[in-house]
Amino acid sequence: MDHPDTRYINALISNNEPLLKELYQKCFGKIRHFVTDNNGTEEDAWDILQEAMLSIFFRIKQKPLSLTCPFDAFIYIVCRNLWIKQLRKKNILRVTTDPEMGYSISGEDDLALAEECKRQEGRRELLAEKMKELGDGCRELLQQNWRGARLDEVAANLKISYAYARKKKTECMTKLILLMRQSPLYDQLKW
Amino acid sequence: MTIEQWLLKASAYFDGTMAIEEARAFEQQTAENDELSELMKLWKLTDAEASAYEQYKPEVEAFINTHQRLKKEFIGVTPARAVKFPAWKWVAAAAVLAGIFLIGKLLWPTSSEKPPVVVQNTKPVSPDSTVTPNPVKEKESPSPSEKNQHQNEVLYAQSFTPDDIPGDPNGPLDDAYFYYASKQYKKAITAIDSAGSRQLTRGGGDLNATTKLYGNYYKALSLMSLGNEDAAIPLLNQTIPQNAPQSLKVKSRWYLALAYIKHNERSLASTLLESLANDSSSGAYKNKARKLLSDLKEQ
Repeated sequence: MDHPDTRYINALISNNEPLLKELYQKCFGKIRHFVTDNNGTEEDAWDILQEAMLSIFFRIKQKPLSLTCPFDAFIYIVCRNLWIKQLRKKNILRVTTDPEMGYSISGEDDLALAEECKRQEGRRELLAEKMKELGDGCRELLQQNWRGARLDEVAANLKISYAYARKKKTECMTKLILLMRQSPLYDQLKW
Repeated sequence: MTIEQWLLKASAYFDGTMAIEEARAFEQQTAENDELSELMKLWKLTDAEASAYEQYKPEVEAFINTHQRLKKEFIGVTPARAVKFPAWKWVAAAAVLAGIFLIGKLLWPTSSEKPPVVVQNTKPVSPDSTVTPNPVKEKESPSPSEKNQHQNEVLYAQSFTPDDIPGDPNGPLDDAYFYYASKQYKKAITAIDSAGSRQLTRGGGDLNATTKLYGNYYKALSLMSLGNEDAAIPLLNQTIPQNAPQSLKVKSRWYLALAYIKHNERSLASTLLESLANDSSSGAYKNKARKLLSDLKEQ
């Protein structure tokens, strides 16, 4: 049987504004409360909600989300985890407020799933950060390839030979992977 | 095998260009070494996740736009919280404020208490010289036309996605298609504009009528992608004549309707959308037009 909040999950995937608004009405107040009570602003709360929604979006695109708690509660937990991560970065270790803000989240799986979303978001951030450290040529080649163009098509687009494109891709991936492994965040992200 | 050696082999392995025996040996060597296994996992996951991020970029951008649009409805709307300020603190705060007020009165008397300043006036005061204080400009709520404009822009942003290039992009517009596909719209426009002269230099004669129509169409879409609907409208109007290919006519009507919406000309947009919605040859644009029409009516 479908989760009762499937419509919200679909709303995220299909970018359904009215339903997203309805969902935000259910959860944003609590997220705002948590963030503003923990050294953040309303704007921070809004940004963290966006980050959480994107991490859930990518998670759903990988495999279906099997939740046992309401979707708004799940979003709250993902937001809370992401915000705590940001506080840790600023060396703020003390977090106030009821951790679940009235939500009853008993499922271990839901909490693990929320952790997974946080890690995925962390990996996305790290990847984006390290991509910036690559040269323009590497970025262009990798991005075209990741967008779905085959390496021979990328070679044609960039007006380079296929053999050179292959060699370049190895170099670029090597550089990217080594950069990510050198990051202090790497070990926490469970690649 | 060192990490560097492994990484050099990995690309051929992941591309599938490594010979089967070599690939097996590579897998074996990787499995025997924890660090190399970890690298294998990292490579695979990075490639898979990065592909997902790139491929879902348009959807992610659309979501972020929606999220940002909703922001104004949620930010600044703080729920009332229980007042935790005890009554005695209110009294104390009031006393402090009253004290500050009294001290201020003593130190800086108000204008009514100051002695009048005598000014020798040589001219009679004319009624024109009356100085009225500048009224404090209150923050005006948006006018209905501003609201409409905003709604039109939102609808436009939700509906406008540049069309794909033709299945076979070879021909006089090939450069333009390359630039257009890689979102280099200014270069695409230049390439379209110079396609005729390039064709002549190559000894190919004038561009044929259909190529010119496609040139106009992709130039219009490039202009729209650059935010210049004004210049796109006449070009799109030129691509709808009877002799144009049917699919081009349909798409041109759709994009022209969008340009009109952005341009705040809803009735022109509605007419075009109705014609698309009622035309059996509109294909996928039939439903898109119906949806957009209903969105227009809702607002």
